[in-house]
Amino acid sequence: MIRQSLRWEGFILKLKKGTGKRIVDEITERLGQSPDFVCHEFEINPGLRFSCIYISTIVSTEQIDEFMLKPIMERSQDEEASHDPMGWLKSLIPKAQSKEGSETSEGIRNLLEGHCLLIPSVGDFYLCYDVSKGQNRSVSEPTTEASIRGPREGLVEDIARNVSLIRKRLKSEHLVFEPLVIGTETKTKVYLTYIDNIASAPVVDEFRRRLKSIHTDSILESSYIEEWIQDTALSPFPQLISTERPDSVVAKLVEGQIGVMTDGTPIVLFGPITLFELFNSPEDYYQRADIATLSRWLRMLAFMLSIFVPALYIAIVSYHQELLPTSLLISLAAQREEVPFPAFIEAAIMTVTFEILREAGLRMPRIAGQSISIVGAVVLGQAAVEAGLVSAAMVIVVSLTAISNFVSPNYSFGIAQRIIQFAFMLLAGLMGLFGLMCGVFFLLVHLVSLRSFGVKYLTPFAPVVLSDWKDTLVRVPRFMMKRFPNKRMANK
Amino acid sequence: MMKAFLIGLILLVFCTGCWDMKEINALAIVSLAGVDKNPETGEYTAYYQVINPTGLSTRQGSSARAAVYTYNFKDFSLGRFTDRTSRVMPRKFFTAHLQSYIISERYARQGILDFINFIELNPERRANVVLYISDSPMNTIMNSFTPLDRVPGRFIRSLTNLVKPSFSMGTFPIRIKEMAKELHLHTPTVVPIVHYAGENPSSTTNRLEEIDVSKNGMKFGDGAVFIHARMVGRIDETSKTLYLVLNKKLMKYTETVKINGDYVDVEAQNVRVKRKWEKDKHTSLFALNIKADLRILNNQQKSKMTVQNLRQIETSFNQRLEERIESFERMGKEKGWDLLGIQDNGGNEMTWRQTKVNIHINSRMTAIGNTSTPYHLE
Amino acid sequence: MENARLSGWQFFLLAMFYVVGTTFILLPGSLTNDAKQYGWLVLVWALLYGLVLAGFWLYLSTRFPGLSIVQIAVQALGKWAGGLVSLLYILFFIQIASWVTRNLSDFMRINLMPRTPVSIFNIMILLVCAYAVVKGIESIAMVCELLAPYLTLAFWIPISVMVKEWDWRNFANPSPFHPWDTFLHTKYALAFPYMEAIAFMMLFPFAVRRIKFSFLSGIFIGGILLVITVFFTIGILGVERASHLIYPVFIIFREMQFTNFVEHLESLISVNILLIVCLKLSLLFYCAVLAICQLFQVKERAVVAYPLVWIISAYSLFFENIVENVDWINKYLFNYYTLYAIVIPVILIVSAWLRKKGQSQERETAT
Repeated sequence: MIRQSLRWEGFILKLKKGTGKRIVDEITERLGQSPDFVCHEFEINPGLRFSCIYISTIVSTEQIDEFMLKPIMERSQDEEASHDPMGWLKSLIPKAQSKEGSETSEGIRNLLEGHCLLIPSVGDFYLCYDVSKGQNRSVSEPTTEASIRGPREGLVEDIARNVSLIRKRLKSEHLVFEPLVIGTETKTKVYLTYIDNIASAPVVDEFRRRLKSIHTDSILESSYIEEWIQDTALSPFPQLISTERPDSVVAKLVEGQIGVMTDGTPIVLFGPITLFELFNSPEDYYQRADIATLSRWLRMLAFMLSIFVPALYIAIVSYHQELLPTSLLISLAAQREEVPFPAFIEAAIMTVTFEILREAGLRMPRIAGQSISIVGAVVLGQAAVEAGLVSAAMVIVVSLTAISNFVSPNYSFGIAQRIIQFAFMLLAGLMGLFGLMCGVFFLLVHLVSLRSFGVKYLTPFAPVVLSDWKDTLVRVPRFMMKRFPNKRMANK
Repeated sequence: MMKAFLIGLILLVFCTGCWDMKEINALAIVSLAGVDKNPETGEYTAYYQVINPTGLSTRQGSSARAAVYTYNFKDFSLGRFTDRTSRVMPRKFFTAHLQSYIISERYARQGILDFINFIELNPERRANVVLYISDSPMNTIMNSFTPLDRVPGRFIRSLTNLVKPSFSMGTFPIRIKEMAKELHLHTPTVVPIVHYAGENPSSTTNRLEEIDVSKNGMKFGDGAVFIHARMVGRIDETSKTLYLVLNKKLMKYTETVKINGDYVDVEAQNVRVKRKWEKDKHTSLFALNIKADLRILNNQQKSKMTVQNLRQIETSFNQRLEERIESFERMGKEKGWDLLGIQDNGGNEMTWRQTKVNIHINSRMTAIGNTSTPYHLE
Repeated sequence: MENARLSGWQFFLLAMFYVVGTTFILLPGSLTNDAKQYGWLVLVWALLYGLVLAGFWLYLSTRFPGLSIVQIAVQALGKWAGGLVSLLYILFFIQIASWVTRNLSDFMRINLMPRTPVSIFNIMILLVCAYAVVKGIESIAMVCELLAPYLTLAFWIPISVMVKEWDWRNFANPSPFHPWDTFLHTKYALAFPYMEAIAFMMLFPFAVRRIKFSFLSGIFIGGILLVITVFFTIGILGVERASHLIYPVFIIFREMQFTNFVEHLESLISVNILLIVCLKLSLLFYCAVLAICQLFQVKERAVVAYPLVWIISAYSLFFENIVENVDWINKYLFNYYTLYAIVIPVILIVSAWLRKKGQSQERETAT
């Protein structure tokens, strides 16, 4: 679609008299109620009238005056205007952003995208000129994926702008953007993007098939698409990864992943992924290999901590006290002396409270943030312990879990961790370590049976693909990683 | 439909849970247990020292100061004590952190096989817990606070840990499990004896305010000799050490030798013992090959430390040790205890007393102190 | 039938974990009881026997490439007789699955959670395994792959820490060795891990390549692990203790002490180790479900698996306690397993021969 809009595509018009009025009428009938609908009519020379239609809120009127109306008015005395109004118009108006059409519905769509329509009263055609006003924010630093080293640019809501940001970094002739329009009402532009000599063709076909089978009225964010095209709906784990950094978009494209860009959101979806990619941050590739490896391990450790710590604490404190060293047991017992709740209830109260705090922190105005953190830290932490409602150890456990949870570079993966954490807590509260073991086995079976566009979720560990290990648990230095992992192709 | 049914069932399973749940603050953490058996009536008395967590915690407002409370129960069978505790203790009896068992001497002399069986059967008791025999009244031992560590169980544990490194492989070899393992051996098992110095038990925390701790307190010393889980007698501290060294359990041995009329204290480290049979012309000999690295702890000689002098020390250490082992062996044979493990190392059950024992000791001086020559007045 | 593919490595791991399965918690105790310090030797010849047996099954499966034992039976013996044999195998798999379940829940109940009813353990573990079964053999195999390094560490680290209690005297026990008597008393060690492996006859069609090598080496390594386990049990605990305890390996975990801080970890370690049992159970469960699906042409495994949870958990209550269970194992297990592991496969091979002969004769007469 980009190509279409950028290139002039001429075609022969059939002249029909007096039908220009019909188009104007039809458009007015459909869009005329809105106050921002503008339809100017002006006469150039007798018998030749032009209607200029646009939606004033989404166009820049200066451009209309400058590039469309001014040249027409200046040259209105031309002879040519009367016998070949279309040819005359085309010669007047800058070509790069204009196109012509004859279908009313097409015209309406163009209008809604911010074009201005010029309709002569003779002939069954119109000329539209893209004067859409860039109501977009400028390119700024990505907020959810901050990095210390690396580019500061983030994607924006405008899909054309995003394409330019990507093309700027990836000048490959194999880079493909396949345009699609999804959503019967929103008519959202969606681009399927990949590098056609790297991405595996069957996976691209599968993406295309799934995107085309979406039947919905609206797409406002890429998450709408994610829910439609993921393999398994009944799983807390994200099966597509999202990013708002153009550099990581390019990195993923070069790795052979396939992206889905959605107009109106800076978030680009990528698939197929494996679990281990959720531990990667784009920064891993900008830091030294050893630091990147260690911080990756740290993230995996944090993942383990956040799903196991509360469950293990509950299991040990209420079922397997012998696991604790004697001195620790005594001090825990002393702490819990006055606590009125069983450990599981105590943990549930604390974690739910923390979730509420977190949710409040996300939703409320920035200015109130200070007071929330005071309430959270002082009231819930210190005061609850001093009042003997919860034990100090439990506060430590919950905060450790929460902090570990924030380590996750991927937000939706963090949510998955929380769900698992609660499930494990429940199991541990019911059956101690045995329940936890059942939970772990269940989780493992679930993980290995997950697929992301046909790629097994735990590749390269189950099934083992030794050659892909160099960028999972460790990130080996770049000179040892000349070829990119081929896991996406190996599985098809 | 199927799914709803399944979820219902899973939830049902969840509803049931928690049989084995026990809250950590509802536990009576036993740190030391003692057992006594009256030989006349056959009645057991069990003593349990239960930790009082608030008494130990450093938090403010902990009212009670006693770190442990001792409960005692009388019954005719060991298995019923756990049930008995539920009538006196407001908390759940919890023995996983038990540090040590103390058994009274009179019970040990009746045989403690029933006790070993009870511990091994019971999933809540562990057998890798150290065992001591008390020759003082159990009442006194179990009702005393200990200095430096107010919990007697931990006190004993710490003591054990201190001596552990000098035992082979760093394990303290006198636990219930060793008794079970060596049940069928002819070699006796020697268990340390705990003795209470003083008349009255120091049963209040006031004792911890006193500076002189040697007045009333526990002392670990002699050894109780067990054969087939029955105590048959006792040996003194030196014999106990020798027993442990010769049976490859202990690697350290300290001895004082006299050289030219002056005393030298020598510590043998890393003592390695090899036992094997040597064929003589007529009889076979039981040979003990001992190798040790020596270290001088104290040297009161007036001469300079020379190579000859060190050789002298080595030789006299060897001699002294050999004498000791010989008398140890004689003592064992007289009493009928196979302390050297002759029978278990291929000896004959009938004739082990007649077996000749050959002792070869080979020691090397590896470490001397900071001085090469002691200070002395001419 | 599931369209699964198992790689050689996955098949190897499945076989290994299957052999180690419940055996490593149950066998050391009864073996040292019956064979004293020669318990590990018993396992060595049991391993040889197991390898021969595995080779025999592999031979049977090469006669019928791409077919599981249920399909082989139907093909070789016809619809009715074959169906009956298949039904026997289904019962057999269900039976072993329920014994494994019972072993697991007994273990939990005796050692860790004495007040929880056995059936709760059964149902929970079976539900989890049923989920694995529904997800298919590939998932089970991949879980094997994931857990293999972890389980190896979780098992061998405690044991190697306990090696400090090793005592060679434990092997110098003055008890005479009567090979034949010992063999007769420990026949169950032949049956217990190795004859149960007939369940793999259900999985052979899934293996992609190098099936013989991976299956035999899986059994071999699993057997070697068992031998080493028993050897270590004797060396660490001593014959006296190992033969009196029901779960000597658990006691090793229990008495593991590493410095003064790391001790009493038995519940953590043994619960980890129980994952091996989970793997074995889900594999057996899968075989039972697959056999039912193949015999009765059921498409969805879930329809079979979830109801089977209740059957297996009910059947696992067949023995009142572990003593009855062990007693039954010692007395009848070998003879009972012989039927499934040797007699029926022999019948199948013979009938295959006969059929082939008949066919070639027919062809001869036809020409």
